[in-house]
Amino acid sequence: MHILIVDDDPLFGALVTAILEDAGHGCRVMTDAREALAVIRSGEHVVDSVVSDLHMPGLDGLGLLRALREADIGLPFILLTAEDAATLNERIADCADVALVAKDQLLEQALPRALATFQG
Amino acid sequence: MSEPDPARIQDRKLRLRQVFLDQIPERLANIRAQLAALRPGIEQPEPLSLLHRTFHTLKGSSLSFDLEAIGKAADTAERLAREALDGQTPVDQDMLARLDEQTQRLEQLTREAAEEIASPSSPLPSAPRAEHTALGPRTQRLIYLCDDDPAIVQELSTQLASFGYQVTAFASIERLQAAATARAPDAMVLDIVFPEGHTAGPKMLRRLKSITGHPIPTVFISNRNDFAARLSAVRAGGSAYCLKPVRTVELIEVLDQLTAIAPPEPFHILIVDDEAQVAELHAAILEEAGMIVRQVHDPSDILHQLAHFQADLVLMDLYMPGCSGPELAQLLRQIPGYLGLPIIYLSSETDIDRQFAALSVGADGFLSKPVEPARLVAQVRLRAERMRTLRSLMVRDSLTGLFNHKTILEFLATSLSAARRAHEPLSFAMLDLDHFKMVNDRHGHAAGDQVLMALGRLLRQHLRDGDLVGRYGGEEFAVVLSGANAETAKQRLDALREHFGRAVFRADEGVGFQASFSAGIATFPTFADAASLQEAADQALYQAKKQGRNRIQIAQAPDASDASSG
Repeated sequence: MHILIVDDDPLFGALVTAILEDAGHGCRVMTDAREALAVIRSGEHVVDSVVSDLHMPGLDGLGLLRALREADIGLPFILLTAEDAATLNERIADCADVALVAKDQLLEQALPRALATFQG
Repeated sequence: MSEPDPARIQDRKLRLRQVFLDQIPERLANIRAQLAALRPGIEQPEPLSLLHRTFHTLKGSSLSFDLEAIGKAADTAERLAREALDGQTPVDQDMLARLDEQTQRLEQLTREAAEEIASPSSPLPSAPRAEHTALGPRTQRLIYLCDDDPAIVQELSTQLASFGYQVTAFASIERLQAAATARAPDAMVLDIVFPEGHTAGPKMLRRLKSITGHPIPTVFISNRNDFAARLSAVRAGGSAYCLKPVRTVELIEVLDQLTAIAPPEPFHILIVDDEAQVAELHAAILEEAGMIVRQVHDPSDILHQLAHFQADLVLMDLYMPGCSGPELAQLLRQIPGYLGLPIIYLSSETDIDRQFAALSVGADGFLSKPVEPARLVAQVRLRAERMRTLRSLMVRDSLTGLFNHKTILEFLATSLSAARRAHEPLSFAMLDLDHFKMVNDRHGHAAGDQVLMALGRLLRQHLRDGDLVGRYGGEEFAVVLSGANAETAKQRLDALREHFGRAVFRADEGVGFQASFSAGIATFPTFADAASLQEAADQALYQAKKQGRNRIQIAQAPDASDASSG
């Protein structure tokens, strides 16, 4: 899959890239959600799913998700967060094809698994 | 595509982890600066939410990189910040102290993690070093600070942290001694008077030196301005002495020098001697002492050599065929650029009168052949050093230590001819602090100076070795980026602009404030000569200001500017 990674911390983007490339995916990292939104909407690049950080200055991960859904773009979306998942789940309950993945020690296993569920 | 190799991802992750670990001190310094901006007793949602987010990000990344202890400490800190942000717990002295404590804990854990990785017991990935330097910041210098006055400790730690130092504070000299014995810092800032005695600080430093066997660069800070206190500091091996109240600007300058990473540039010595073997011998002695030497065997070749070799000193034979030493010295003295160049004669001339006669035309010293190697090195070094100091006083701006206006323009001209010869691009940027007059009016001139120094320091430290930075005047700076096209120059300056925007400055009354700069970039060969580069960069800077400041603007080609403006 071609995956667009959105994280304002380039280092974390590199970590996610490492994990996903290893699982056989093609990755591209963007540090600004607004630019990411523009790239996806332009349709010039193949994007099969989005992996985005939640907390970002400017447009955050939830904002990006909502903007995509409003534009009727139903790409599988994975939100990475160090937040407590319970409260967040409520906030994304109305969106389809979204998964939450915690930023913790299990990221390496959890992230490819979450993507695989969309693939299957 | 080949099958994923499980070892590969681990290796990659370990490398990224190392880069992340290298970055934590900078993140913690940011946290320190953010903490310093918090005041007890007032509502301040914006700085609090910034602080909360910084802890939050640190937590997530640390956990993902398997740095569990750091992640947990960041989690605790995040919760504290969250409580304050939600108004559950008031932002009082106690809250600030707890946040400070958590930050110290994070600093401690980061050091431990770094040591653990550095120790050979853990499997180090075969990381290419370039990747580290490309992504990670420069290594932070560790400073131990010890004063029995908590107010001073608080004040200085936050100030030093905002200048990028990693500071660990100690309230008693005993604890400092224990810590410094366990791990030597890059430098210490130490009070003179403690409850243990009126020169307890210097005494501890002497003990420490006898225990560890090597000196730690130390700056003493004190209320005492008497001879006895200053003498005790000198005898203990103190490198500098600052009177309280300590001027941060002064202390930073001293610490920068004491903890300088790069060794000083070696001296450049030109040897003029028609006897190749003698020249070779002297060159070998000076090179052995770490100097860079070039030899000239034909005096008529000297102007050509001097033009390409920035000599700090010329060592010449007194008697040479075709042209004598004094003649050559006089010839050099008639060229304005070489008026101050130190010249030392080397000769077997033992007649004192003739030696004096030779000196009278403007040489600086006389050494008799055969000269003892130690004496040769000492004489050459002494004069070259003084020359260096004098020259740097002439070309550097006293507040920022950057090149002054005249010098940076000379460098621009030289770099431009080099770029032309090499068919390479060159960018010239002009930077100007935004609303600097307001900073001065609102926060005082000391705060203004602090901002100027900080920007000077940032430019000096973060641009590349070949890049040249000067203070153009007032709040204006100029940068020559050799080899950089407009886009590259913009990227580099943008990174610095963002970095600078994150720094929090403190005015005398303790108010935290931030500053920004705008810049205009003009690039060769779009602009063909120094004058048009300057003018175009200035115009672009003006555009950047007009468009709202805190941005970088690239000057368009002269013919395109009509179309793009408006």
